[in-house]
Amino acid sequence: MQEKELRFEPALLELRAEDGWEQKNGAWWITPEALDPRTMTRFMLDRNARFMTLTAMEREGGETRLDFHWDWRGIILTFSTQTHENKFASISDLCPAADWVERETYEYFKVEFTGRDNTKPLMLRPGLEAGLNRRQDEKL
Amino acid sequence: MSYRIPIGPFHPALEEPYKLDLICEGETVREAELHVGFNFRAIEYLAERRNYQQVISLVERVCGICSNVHSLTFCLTVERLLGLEVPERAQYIRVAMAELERLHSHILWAGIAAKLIGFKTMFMSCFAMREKVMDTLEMISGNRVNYGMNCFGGVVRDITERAAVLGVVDAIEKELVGSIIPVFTTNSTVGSRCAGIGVLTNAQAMSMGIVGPLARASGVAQDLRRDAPYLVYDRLEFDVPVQTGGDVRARLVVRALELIESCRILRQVMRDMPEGPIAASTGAPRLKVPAGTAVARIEAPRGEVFYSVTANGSDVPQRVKVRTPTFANMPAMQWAVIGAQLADAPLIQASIDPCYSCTDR
Repeated sequence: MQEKELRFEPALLELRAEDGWEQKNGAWWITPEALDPRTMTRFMLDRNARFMTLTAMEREGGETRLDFHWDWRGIILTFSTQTHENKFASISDLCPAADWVERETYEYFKVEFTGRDNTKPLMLRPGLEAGLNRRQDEKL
Repeated sequence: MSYRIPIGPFHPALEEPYKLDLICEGETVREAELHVGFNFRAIEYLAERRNYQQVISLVERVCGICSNVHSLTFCLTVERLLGLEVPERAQYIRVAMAELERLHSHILWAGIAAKLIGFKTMFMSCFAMREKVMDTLEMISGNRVNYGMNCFGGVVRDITERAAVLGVVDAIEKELVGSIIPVFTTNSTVGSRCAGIGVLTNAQAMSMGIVGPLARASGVAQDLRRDAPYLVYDRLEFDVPVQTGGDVRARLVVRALELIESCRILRQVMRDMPEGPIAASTGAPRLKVPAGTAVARIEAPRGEVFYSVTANGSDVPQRVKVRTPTFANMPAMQWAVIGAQLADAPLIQASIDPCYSCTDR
């Protein structure tokens, strides 16, 4: 696919070189060594960014990679990080747009979002076990 | 004293299975709870256990109305990983399919809205017009619903009947301008059912991250075709209708004006589409995709569709993430109905143009 170049300078978002950012495959990828999701959320909301969604992907050792996708002036900024003991701080109280996707991510990958009030099932029916998309019986 | 009215998951008033619990005081809705997942098919799980070609067909089943946008966005994502250049003619054909699908979706929605407003004649007019669009999609692709047009590197069928497509565009625009848009925008009955109903403010729209016509009706002026252009949209002239009212009427006006813009785009596509191949070669029949993650998004009829695909070098994706526009938009319904009259709740939920097939993937 032809890449349509959109003007973006990481300095516009006050991103630091040590945050590790690069443009590839349709987004700007930002991979800070340690990501405080709530600081990230406030930072992006203060700049009128729109929370798009969260992509989760199973990692070895029971952890989960989490890619937080934001739209900022037509550009996708993705903060990529990982759970610790398959837990991660919820941002849904700061950003209502994250509510459903956190519930869904729990159901698919059993990621526990700490600090959430609403833990009702979204997609799965009562009795179905969370962690549907984890490949329990398959080698990664 | 408040009381709860459960609607659904299977109810004559609902087009698709979902459940809405309305907590009312008298005739006024005070709170709403939405329950989804009744049509959950685990498509992301299945996509991670099929080869890439099979996933094109699989994701086309995410939605029954805008099936093309799903196979298109998936192909765009994988083409990024493959570094594939799509021939220009194929890009124009993809735009034509996307805009015909937008016509189909918006006209279908207009018909359903007319029915809920109580305007049965308009419902029949819209559905008759929708048939013309579906016939055109069938003429191009051979199918009326799941078109099977996209492949990695382009499309599988050419558009050879430009004059026929233009004829349909002319006929649709004439009917839109002559009767449907004037009725929807000036008729007093329609106005009284829609104006000031189901309001989502600009601040709410921003906070909920809603997308597409629903967002543009609340003053969020984003359309990916213009603001993050893909395919050949940056070569086409079109306007992005935006309203600030945030009510059902504003949603109606945005979609009506978008129909006209789609006709405008289709004329340019039929005029400017160059000769040439309709697909690039991907080489091996069983495609293996280099390791990495790519994302892509397009402006579907209901708003932004987003895909993230992670490849591990094999012929099966390691991860396929699908974020549909209704998944982003639907939670806002719980805000839009607060304070509304109970009788307006069906129209308010329809004005969001929800697709539960998309939501439940």
